[in-house]
Amino acid sequence: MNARRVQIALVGALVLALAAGCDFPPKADWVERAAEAHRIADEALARGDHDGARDALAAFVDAPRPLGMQPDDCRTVVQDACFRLATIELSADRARESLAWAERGLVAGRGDDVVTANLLIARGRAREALGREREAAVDYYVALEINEKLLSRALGGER
Amino acid sequence: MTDATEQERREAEALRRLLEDGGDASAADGAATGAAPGAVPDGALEAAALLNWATDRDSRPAGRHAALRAELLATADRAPAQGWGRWLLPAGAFGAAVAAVVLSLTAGPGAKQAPLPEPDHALLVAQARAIESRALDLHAEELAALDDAMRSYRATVLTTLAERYGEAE
Repeated sequence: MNARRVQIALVGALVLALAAGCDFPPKADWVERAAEAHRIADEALARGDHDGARDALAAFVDAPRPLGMQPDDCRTVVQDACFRLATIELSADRARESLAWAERGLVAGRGDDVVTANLLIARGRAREALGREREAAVDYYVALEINEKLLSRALGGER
Repeated sequence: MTDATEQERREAEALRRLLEDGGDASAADGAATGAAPGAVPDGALEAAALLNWATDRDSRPAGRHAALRAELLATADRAPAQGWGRWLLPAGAFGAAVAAVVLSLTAGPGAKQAPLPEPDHALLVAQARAIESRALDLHAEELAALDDAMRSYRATVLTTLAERYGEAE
């Protein structure tokens, strides 16, 4: 077998591996999975099962995300799940884990919207719990700026 | 026209032998031809070689052509096998295939951007309280209240997105 045939076989194998290994979910299914993860978390929290709530949401965040979704739409869903995870960990006195989830959510991006502000608040809480008051103050300040913009927009819409 | 001198005759003889023998230098030194050493005029070797190459190509041995061809083909086969350059073509083809798959998945009606629903006042007030209450209690109820306030907004956002992408798909 000459080198050219080996190269063609390798390229074909790589394409097949890519197609088989990357299980990108359909966009609408992924959004419904997010709703389902939140529903499971609600039920778990209602019976005091913090670990169950965390596992359901963490599995969703760790799962592959769909291709072709608008970045802000995807970010909103992921950041909201991370906010809940950070809140759940904080309520279980796990500040480091809470901080990790907040950081992970903020890595997904930032916007002048509710979910980014929520994550900044959660990160501020986690940092405060870890004795990092100065960094926490910065988070609160930025969250407050976003909150004021949102309030101003909401009030402006009514006038 | 005057007769040629002895020197001129030797030079002419040497040139004739050069042309007949394919520009071989050994023929020009006179040892094999009987011509006197040094009889070849300056530049005669190069001129004879050029003349032979230009006029006598077809009469060369066929075996030499075949040997040259085989050597060139062997070199051509070996050259691409050296270095990473041989992977450029398959790597480029693979990259193009991946790009085509990604573009086909990212294009389409689902790519249109539409704003998400705006948060209501209750949620924004809960958010502001969660910020302001930070110094009072690390596990303040305001954070839980914010989480509660997010439920209806979250449901609205997820429903909007499910409809948007469900229709597109």
